[in-house]
Amino acid sequence: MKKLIGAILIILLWNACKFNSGDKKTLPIYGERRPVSKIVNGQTVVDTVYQTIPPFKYINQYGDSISEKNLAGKIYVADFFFTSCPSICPVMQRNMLTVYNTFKDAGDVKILSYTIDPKYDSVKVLKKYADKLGINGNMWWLLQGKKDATYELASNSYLVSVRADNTVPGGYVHQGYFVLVDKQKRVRGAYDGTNPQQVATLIEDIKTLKADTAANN
Amino acid sequence: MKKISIALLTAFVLSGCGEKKAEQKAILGDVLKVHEKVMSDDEQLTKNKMQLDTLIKENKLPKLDSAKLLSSKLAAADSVMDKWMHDFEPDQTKKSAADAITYMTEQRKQIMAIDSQLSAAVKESNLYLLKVKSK
Repeated sequence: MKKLIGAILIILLWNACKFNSGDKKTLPIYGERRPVSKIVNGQTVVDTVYQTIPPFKYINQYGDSISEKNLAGKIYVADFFFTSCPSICPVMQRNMLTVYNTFKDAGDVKILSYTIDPKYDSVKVLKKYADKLGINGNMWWLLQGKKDATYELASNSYLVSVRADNTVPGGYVHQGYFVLVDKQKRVRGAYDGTNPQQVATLIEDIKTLKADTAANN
Repeated sequence: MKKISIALLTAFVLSGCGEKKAEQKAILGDVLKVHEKVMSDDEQLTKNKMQLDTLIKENKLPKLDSAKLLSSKLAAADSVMDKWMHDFEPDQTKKSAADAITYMTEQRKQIMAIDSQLSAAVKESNLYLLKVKSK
């Protein structure tokens, strides 16, 4: 009888573990991909190379120069805004504050808000905007750079998943997307930044990415 | 009787205020809607301007007059849009309802004119770029 109970308990535990592993969420990887062959331990293996966010150089609200090097080993959320935007940006930034407050002490999560109006949004204007939002420290950077470069970065790199899902070309940069980028600089999701439910999903997905990274280290 | 008259007058004034606020909100809604469209077109404007400026810089075409003219038209449309955006004040609560409606109506007129100017410049440059690319 004892043996039977023991066997049932083992089966139950195994099933519970199996259920958990099957339920584990994996985020998609967006953008172009190509197979590459490489030799590992004398054997040829095929690996996949994914599209990544290319190098960039911007200035943040403190006047510091920010490049992809400052994002090494970080998960980050990117969005596009401008300080004088009267419509969707205030809603977006209010929702982004939830992301900020959830992960501001995490250490490995950052937020990059690129201005698409760099002529007006100087370092001084960005700092004032940051103060008004109540953000400080280096978790959330408001970035100023060349307008052309920002549109190119947005269209060709950050918004790859959005572009793939739409038949009409262009016009996505000012649609309030929050883009999730992993530690390998790959796009893992795009969320409607004006929709609190989608922002809640983004927060859950950041937790999934964090757990993935922890498991892979 | 006096009390009833005052109550009626207050109700009348309040309902008038409510109507004016709703009108103001509706015009603001129109302004923001057009502004969103202009912002979306501005993305195409930036891309087209980049392509035109590359053509001008490369200097491989026999004539660059059209490219230069279109690039300056795009720059002008972008500039008026920028100016409007920075000057626009959506919060009109400090003004009287009538003044706020006058302001919003004028802004609607301005942003619609900017929309026309920007759309025309983008369309014209789209056609030119298509023609140059097909050659």
